[in-house]
Amino acid sequence: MGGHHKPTITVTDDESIRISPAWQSLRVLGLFGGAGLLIVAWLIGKFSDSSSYFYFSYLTSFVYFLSISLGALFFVPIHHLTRAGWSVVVRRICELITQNLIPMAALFLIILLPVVFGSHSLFEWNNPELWNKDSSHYDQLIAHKSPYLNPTFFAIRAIIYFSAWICIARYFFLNSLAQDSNGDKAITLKMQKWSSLAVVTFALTVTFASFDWLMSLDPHWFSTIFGVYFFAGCALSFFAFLTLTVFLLQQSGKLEGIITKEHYHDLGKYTFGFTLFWAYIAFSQFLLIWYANIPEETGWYLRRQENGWAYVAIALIFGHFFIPFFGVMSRHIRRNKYALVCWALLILVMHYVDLYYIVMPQVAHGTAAPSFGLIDVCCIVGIGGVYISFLIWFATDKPLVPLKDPRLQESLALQNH
Amino acid sequence: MAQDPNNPDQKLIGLMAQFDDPDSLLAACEKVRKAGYTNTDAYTPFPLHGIDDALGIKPTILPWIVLALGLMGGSAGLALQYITNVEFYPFIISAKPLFSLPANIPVIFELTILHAAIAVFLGMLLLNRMPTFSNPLFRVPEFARATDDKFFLTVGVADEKFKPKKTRELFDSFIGQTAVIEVFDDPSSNEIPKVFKFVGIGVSVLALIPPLLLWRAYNDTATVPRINPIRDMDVQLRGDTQTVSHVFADGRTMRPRIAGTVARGEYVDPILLTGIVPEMDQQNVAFLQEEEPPKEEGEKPAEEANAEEDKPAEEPAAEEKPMEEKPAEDKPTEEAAAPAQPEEPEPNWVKIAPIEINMATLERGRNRYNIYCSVCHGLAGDGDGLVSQRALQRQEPTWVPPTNLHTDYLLTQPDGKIYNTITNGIRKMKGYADQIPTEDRWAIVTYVRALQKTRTGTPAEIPAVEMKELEIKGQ
Amino acid sequence: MATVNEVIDTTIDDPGNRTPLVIGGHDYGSITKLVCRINEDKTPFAWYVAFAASLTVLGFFFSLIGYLIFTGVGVWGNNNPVYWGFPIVNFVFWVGIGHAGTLISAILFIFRQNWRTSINRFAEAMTIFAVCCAGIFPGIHIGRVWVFYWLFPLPSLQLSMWPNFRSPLLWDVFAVSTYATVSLIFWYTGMIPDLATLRDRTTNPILRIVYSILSLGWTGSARSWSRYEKAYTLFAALAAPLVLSVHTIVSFDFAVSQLPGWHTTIFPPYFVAGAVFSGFGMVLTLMVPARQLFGLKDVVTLRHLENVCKILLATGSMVGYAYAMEFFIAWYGGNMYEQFAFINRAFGPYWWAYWIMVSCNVISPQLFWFRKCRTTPWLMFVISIFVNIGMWFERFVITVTSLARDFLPSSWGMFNPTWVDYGMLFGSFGLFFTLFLIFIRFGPIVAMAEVKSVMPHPHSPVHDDHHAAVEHS
Repeated sequence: MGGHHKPTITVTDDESIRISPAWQSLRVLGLFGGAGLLIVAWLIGKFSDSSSYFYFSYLTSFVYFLSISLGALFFVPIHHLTRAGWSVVVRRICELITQNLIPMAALFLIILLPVVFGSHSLFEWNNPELWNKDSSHYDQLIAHKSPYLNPTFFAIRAIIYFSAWICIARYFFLNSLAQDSNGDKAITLKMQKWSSLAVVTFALTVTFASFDWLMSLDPHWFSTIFGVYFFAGCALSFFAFLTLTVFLLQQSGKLEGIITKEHYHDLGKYTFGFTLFWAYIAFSQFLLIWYANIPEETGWYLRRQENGWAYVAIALIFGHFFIPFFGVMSRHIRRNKYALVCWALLILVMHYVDLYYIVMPQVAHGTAAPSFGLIDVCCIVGIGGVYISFLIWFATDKPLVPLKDPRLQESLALQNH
Repeated sequence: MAQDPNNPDQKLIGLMAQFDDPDSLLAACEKVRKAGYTNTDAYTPFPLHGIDDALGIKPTILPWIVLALGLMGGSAGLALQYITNVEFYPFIISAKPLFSLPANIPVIFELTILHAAIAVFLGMLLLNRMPTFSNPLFRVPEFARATDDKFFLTVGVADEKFKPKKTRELFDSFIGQTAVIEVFDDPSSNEIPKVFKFVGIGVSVLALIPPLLLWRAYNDTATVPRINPIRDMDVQLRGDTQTVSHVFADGRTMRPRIAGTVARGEYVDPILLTGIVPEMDQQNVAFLQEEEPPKEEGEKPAEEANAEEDKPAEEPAAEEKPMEEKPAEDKPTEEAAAPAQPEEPEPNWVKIAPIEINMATLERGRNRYNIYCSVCHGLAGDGDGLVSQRALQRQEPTWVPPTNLHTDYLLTQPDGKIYNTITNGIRKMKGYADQIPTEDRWAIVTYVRALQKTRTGTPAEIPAVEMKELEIKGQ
Repeated sequence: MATVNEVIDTTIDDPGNRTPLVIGGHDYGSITKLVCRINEDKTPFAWYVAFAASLTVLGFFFSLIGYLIFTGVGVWGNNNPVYWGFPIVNFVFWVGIGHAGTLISAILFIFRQNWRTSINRFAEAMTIFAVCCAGIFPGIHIGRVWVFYWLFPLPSLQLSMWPNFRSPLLWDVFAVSTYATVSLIFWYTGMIPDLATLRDRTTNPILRIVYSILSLGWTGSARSWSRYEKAYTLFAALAAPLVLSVHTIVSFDFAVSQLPGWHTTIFPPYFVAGAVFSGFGMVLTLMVPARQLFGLKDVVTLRHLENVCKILLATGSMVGYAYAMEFFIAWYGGNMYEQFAFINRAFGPYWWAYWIMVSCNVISPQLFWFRKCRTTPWLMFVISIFVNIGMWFERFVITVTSLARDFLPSSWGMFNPTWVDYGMLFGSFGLFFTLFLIFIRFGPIVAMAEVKSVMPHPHSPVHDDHHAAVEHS
């Protein structure tokens, strides 16, 4: 290759590509503080006569952090599948984010166990009364769905999802770490080969997980695009979270010269693209249901336009689409990490609002108004604390860049034009 | 050298260096920029990355033009949909509001993209000053390979730093340079050739024809399309209403009723229809022999027509007819019960309603009476309906109070006459033939009879069983 | 790049070293010659034969359209309840094919997939011609073709009517016409530098004037290139969502209704994936023989074809995902009409169409999991034909089965295509291939400038004292 001979950048395996020891204190604080807050949230729910509210709020926050890890779980195999070069420098961070699916599996028990033990405060369908033809509560539709929506199958599916996700996450992480030591190109080829299968598995599991954990909150409602809608949110929040993480790492003096404004530019492009994609999917779902106006579908949106939820919807239209769309449109913004990280923060907030809008109107069967309160704060901060704590734990003593990836040089020399 | 040596007027406009590879060009560009030249340009067969920096080319303003036009297109799309569907042509369709924002988004989106894309295209051409078909560079034979595999760098004489000798030296010093060429101005005239002018005028004139045709079509009020290939829907072997027919001698497409016939399914017993028992010799033929135009009312055109047609034949409404007009002039304040002098003999009114009388009929009669009659005559028939009360309260001067249905005058009237009054009206009261079907009018008559019975009946007329029940209730 | 004429297997992956996009030791000049030769050589006899055949079919197509216009839409098999028969099926089929070109030049551009440069021109031309074919069908489906302008919001004194913007069919008018316009100017903009190359090379004076006018006086100036590249990027950024929107809006034609089998929320992305799938299928169908006939194997390498195969596999699987979601939700939703619609598709009177669709669209691309299938041109050609067939049947299944069997058994009815229906489907290929043959004869079928821009720079004399230069600066 002729042309511009950029001096080759060498990445040395030293402290500059490892997380700073100061963050270790966050590990303990996050874990115990987070767990404490979750207990506080539970207690508030218990004693304020709204224990079901706690479960809804917990589910929102749980899915919020889960979706970030799922976004990463999509990105890593796609990176290999497309033989991407630009993203090598951020891939290790993505792999670390996917590792958090392990603590997420444990946190899911708080949702799963009550279901298994027959609680229907969160999932309305988990009530044998509704399936019983002779009961006065008999619900024909829910009875029809009971072969799918029943606690046993629900638990089996959850186990399948988490084991599939953790397998994918561990496979790519461990192979990537192995390459750090031996630099074997065959490992890259092997990961490329299995990435296609990982993507197929990801698509199916995430779709059904979103059906199970979000769509079935309103067991009468259904939408074929719902899996894609959830995926769009996962990918978008993941890119925003990745931008934020990289920014924080660089603020603490790490990865200098390795992740450049060119990489921010690319992350910004993905953020921009998925903002548009999310809006496209959300609008498609809304338009088709609004236009056809069939009672079995419109109920879901109707519930989300009453009791003050319409304001949340409007906030989503602007905060989740129009404002970040025009915000991240400019090339100058995308190449400025300070500006970009502000937009990433907005997107992370709006992604929570999006999930809140999906989950919370189901509280008390859609009669409740939006009431963001102490329980919600405790849940989001609590799970967030645990999440960050494990992220740091997984990152400890590991290089934050795949040191001997054969495409590392290409990524380092990235130039947008 | 490329230039025509025979022409001494050639004006030097710049120097050009040729390169065989892009890296040499980039290096030369750097050199030229560092030497302070600004009137520079490079020519490459493909976009060469890094040349913007090497030559110091500033970013283009194209994105801003595109953003502005895109936003304009989107707003125009919204305005178009609002104005046409809400203001110009408001039409509810598939139960959507006139202004349905979700349904308007696809068109807004498409128009945004369309305008933005056209802005990209035209903006790029405009900024690049394209199309420019005449360019001095095209006169340089070597330059033909600028679109193939050679690379060129030019410095214009207009540049402040341009010094024929010094610049030439700089050009000669480029590494990888394979030729240095002097570029001369194009000496040919800038005049547009006459052929182009004539063709241009001709085309402009011809171009006016379609808009003129459109303008004519726009102001045309023809009822058929100008182009109408499929004629089978427009030209049909069919007579339209109110048109001339060449088939019939009288030239009327709308055919009159054939004398002496009754249309199938439209025969109604004349007694039921008119309330009059016809004389034997008349036997309901008279009205059939008369022609009559078809009625608009689809339901029972024959009977209504017949009802009217009866008048000239038997003059049943003769006594009322003058009455209908007179009250308005005379303003009778009295009960209009006093009949005007009957000039014609009373028709042979049917005594008892010619329908089957049972509870269902009476219920139907009550129902219709309460809807149509009670507003004036009152629910009990005392002539004190709400309309009447209000009119009296307001002391309306033209108001003729409705008849009390319990007066002797009405008690003794035959059913047929009451029926006739309902059908054709009397004094201020209009005829109800249009609104109340025949059977219902008879039902009202029977109900009126039942109302009257409530005042005139005696205990003896009550069946013993019911009397007993009433006694029990009464106690 | 080393100018050794060894055969490189471009399908073998070596992480860290990017596979060359152009093989055969070409330099810039030889690329120009390779591509321009197709336009400059004497017209081969085979071209005349193919052109005559296409023109005949095109004539047949136009005759059928004339017959239709002068007789009425009764010449088709469309009936009550199947109001949308072949014309709409053909429309969606061709619009779908028309997605590949702009997708390649816009979305693959955004994803920096440089291999697109070898095939994008070809695919864009295909896009334009497919959209032409697509546009004809709804045009003649309106019945009274001579008042087609009623589709557009034009003021009218006589009618004082305006189009109904709440109708998805009107959205379609806007989407397809915008797409045709934008694709055309995108394609043309991309061709300007290559038309300039042809202008500078041709010896035929008439062609020289034509190419001069079409290339608008392009010189290849760096300042022009700078704006041109920005324009190209903007085009890509605009065309990418546009491509998604077109088939999305086509899907709205079906999905906003309440008809079982049509009303389902996955339709927009599902239609887009299907469109990309069918478009790439057609790219492969045309590209495999074209690179053979025109000697373009050095520019369109086996790896390019392999990449197209991978996209087919990915989009075919997405289509399969959508089929699966529809079936699952039809059951899960508990709506008996919806359940019946899907059982009827698979086992009703049109079961054969359904199973042709599934086997061609979902099963046949699965062969591309095997590297052998992705690297054997004749095999991928066969599979691409299956994909084309399958995607036509997909539109047939969606359009006809749902209309033929809706809510009321008393209003059921079968669809029987007439010879005019078959003739028009066949005839539309005449239009497509006529335009395509004209283009490959006179237009630059490979984006020369773009291919050159992704080739490695040749050895330069500046590198001999490169280190000195670096130190100086």
